[in-house]
Amino acid sequence: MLGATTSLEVQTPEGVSFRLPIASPFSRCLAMAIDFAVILALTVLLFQILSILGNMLTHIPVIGRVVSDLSSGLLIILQFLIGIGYGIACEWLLRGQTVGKRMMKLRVIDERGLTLRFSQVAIRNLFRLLDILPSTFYLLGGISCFLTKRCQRLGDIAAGTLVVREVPRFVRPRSRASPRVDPTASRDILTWRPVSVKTPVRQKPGSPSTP
Amino acid sequence: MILDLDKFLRKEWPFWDEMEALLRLEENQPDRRPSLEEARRFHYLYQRVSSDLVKLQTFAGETETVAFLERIVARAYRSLHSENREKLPFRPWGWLTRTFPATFRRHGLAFALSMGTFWLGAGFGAAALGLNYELKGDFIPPQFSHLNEKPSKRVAREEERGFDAFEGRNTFSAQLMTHNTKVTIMTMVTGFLWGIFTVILLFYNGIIIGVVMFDYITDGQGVFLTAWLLPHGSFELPAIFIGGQAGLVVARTMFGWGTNIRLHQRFALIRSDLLTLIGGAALLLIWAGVVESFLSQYHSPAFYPWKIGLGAVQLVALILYLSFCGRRPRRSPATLV
Repeated sequence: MLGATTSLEVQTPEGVSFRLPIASPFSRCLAMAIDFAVILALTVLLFQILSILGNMLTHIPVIGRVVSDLSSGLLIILQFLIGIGYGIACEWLLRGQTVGKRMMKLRVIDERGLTLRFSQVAIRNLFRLLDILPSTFYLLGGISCFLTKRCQRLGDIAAGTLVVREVPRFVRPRSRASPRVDPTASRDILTWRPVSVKTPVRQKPGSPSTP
Repeated sequence: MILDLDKFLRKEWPFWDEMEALLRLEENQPDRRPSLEEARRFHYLYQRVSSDLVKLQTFAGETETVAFLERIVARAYRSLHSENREKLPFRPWGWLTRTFPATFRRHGLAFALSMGTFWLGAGFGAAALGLNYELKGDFIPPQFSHLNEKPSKRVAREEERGFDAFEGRNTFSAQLMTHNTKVTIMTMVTGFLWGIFTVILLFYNGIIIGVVMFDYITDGQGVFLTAWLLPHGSFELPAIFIGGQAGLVVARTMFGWGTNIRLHQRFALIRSDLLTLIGGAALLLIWAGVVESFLSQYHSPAFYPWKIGLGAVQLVALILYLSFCGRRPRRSPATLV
């Protein structure tokens, strides 16, 4: 049931365990609403472009008819491709995020904490057709989210994925930043200079103090 | 554990920064091959940061730092332990000539069941119509209402009508492609509900075809029917069967017969097969959409032999392709070491 697990705990082979906070159904709904708006905007934009193109050529006798027919055919295909491919393309290229998920600071990850594979991204998005049933109410996906321990919809179960909250980047507190640490040394990854931390020299008792 | 926290953080923070910088570099350039020295350094830093995380997890007050370290360790773990098989470039020719037909054959029983369910539905539809012709209107869905009229009447009308190549052919073709692809994907994903809806979808589509076939054949329009359906049906029906095949593979995975592994592991084994099957079905449906729009609707009796011939050639070619393409030659025992 929802709430039984709020984080994914991964135990690495090195014996270290870490936790990733699982996203709530509410934040996922908001992300989905944003994605839906993006898809709608893309479709309207395409429709406008193809309409303008069609209108420019309608006065030409034969080409006008062909272009008008071709553009409406193209629109149907592009609409279908955007509907199916938006989630796949975004989650694959943005490493588990769509525009909505990025705004809501969510990310799709493999349920073992590993990198997402293309087959996982594609399957989770194809199974959305099942999750949205009946009609487009997302009832099956919603029920599954509430009933599963890790808040997974049916597509997530089939793909072996789950959605986690992104932990915000932690800013190092100023009081803890040591002035004795050379910050450039550790970041120089191209030359591989060792990390230099200037630790104070321990003085033996009785030895003369240095200025 | 007794730990001077301030001193520990001052000492370790540069390593965490270095690890983060390396991870950023790797995430921004996923195709970059690190040098041996860089890989060793990465591994050292991963072990060091992991060890720091273990030490800090014992401090209740350091939740922010622990969360920060967990994030770094999670990213490093993902980078170190993930398989990178899929980083290999996708090869369309290899997929078309080997992967797809081989995957299709691997799940041959599911295909046979899918096809069998469909033709069982067709038989049921034909038998029902044979027993009571009044049922025809109940079986034909509203979007195919033109099939409700008497076949001979429709044939006479269609054969007289000319063919306008510009009359919404592209739009019709696009509608067919997208609708059929969606139905095929649906047939696959409904397999998740233990295959019940996959079987229902296949059976129901079979009923419609059975009713139409019975109606046209009993009305003496068998040649028209073959010339109308075979050119695109030779690709469209196998594509729907493949969708059903994928759905039944999903259903078998849900039941987990004959295995003692868990559901997510079972799905991991079939995921790429499902994508291959659905990708192959989509390709077939694209071609079927083009043929149905530009050729199948051209009902001139002079062209019937050509249309039937093309459909038959396509069907035989598809059967040969799916049965034999990409088969590895069997080694003779003498060559085995």
